[in-house]
Amino acid sequence: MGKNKKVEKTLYNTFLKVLAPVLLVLIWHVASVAGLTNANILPSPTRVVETLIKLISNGKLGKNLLVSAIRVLQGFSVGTLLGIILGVLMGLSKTLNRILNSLVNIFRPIPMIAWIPLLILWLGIGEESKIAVIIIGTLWPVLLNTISGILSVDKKLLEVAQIMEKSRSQILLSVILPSAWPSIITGIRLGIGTAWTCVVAAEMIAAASGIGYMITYARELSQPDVVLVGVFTIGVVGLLIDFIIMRIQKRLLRWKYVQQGK
Amino acid sequence: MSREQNNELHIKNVSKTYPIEKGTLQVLDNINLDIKPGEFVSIVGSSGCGKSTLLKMMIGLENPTEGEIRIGERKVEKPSVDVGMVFQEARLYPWLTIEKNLRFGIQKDVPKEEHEKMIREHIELVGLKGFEKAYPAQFSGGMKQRASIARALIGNPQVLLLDEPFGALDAFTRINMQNEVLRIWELEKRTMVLVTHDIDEAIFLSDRIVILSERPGKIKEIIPVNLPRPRDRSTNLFLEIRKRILTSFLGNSELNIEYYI
Repeated sequence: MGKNKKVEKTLYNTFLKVLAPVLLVLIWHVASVAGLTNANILPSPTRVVETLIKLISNGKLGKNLLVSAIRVLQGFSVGTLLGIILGVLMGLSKTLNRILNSLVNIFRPIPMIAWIPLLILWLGIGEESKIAVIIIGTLWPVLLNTISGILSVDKKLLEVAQIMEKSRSQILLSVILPSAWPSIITGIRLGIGTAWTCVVAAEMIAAASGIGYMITYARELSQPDVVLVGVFTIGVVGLLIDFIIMRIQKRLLRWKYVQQGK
Repeated sequence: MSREQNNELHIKNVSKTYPIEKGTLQVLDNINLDIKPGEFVSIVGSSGCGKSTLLKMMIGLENPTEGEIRIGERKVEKPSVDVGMVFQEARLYPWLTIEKNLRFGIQKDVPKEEHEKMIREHIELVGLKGFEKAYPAQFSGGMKQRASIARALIGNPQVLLLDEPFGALDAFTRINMQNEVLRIWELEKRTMVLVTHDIDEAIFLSDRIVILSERPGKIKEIIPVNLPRPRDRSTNLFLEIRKRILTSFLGNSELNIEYYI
């Protein structure tokens, strides 16, 4: 009986989750069929799906997506690595923290888009400038969350390691880093979200490939269906990335998710 | 083996003051105490009398302002593996299983082949067999404290300090844990120093009970407990010692023993 209830509950929850998107598409569809919308601005859902299938089968969507994904992967991995290393150092050293903190506070509020023109001037319109934008975008959330994770380590747990005469490197690896992981992973999760946003923005400003380019180009050609496919693809990919990171988080932080009262 | 080596604990003329906004705050005043190897000593006193500070100095997390603490020949100035400590909170590493928490407590000069055996023995010693792979979050308060004691013991300290280790546990679990500590102490005959405000706990476990006065903490009285173990908490002798301690705390006001039963 308990099992049936559980299945029912899961089904009900799934129903609630898909309710709003399905309803939205339904309204959109009805409005299109009834001729309430201008097909040149907002094509019908069936038209968008047709375009999607076309773009998949002729490989355009896949190719652009792949280009964007590679850029994200490159920028994100450099940004994350930089953020973690710098964050750990700033978290451990009060002096370094004081030195760099004002710099961080000045640069952090600058929107990523504002960097693009400058980076294009410096690095050209090739891959480098786009990857640089993504690095900057990933760096901030990872850096700030790493610092706060390192600083929030429980002093009482440090005392225990001190009593056991553990070396500094052992304390870092076995106490400080594990206790900072949840915070670092939160930073990474935010970081990859920003990285994905950055790549689209950078590609919309100056690129000859990628999902952002596909959207801008389609706008110039007045193809709202292609624009919509691009926009939805960005959303779906973002969702997928978040889902994967959540999975990894649950894996890595199993101790946080274990059931109480075994 | 070398447990018989000189590891007597000497506390000599120890005072501790903390700087505060205006001037200093004296927490402990001229403490003198020698603890023999294998002895069980409790330190009782009201909150703020400096008993936990005294314990922290014994392990070297803090240093005396005056006087010195020695274990055998070594002057205690910084933490060392020959003294272990169990705190009021279990302080287990939440990201490690119980087994790995214990492994973290093993001294670095112990050969790797012996680790498994040591972990198994200590998990059995505190009655946590079958829970090796569990995480601290899955444990009750009492079980966490058992694991914490095992982790302190696996480092093979000559002196084990217990800082109100059962203060956060419910009454039944507390009595249970007191029995457990007694069993472990009788089995291993390791020096143990317990800080507590539970008078019954002190009488039940200790060879001697050190009573500290209020701030600044001075040794008011040291009461030996010469009762055979395990001690029955309801015998007259037990209650008499309890009365003595309470008298020491509350001054000479006449105490009606019935009142406290």
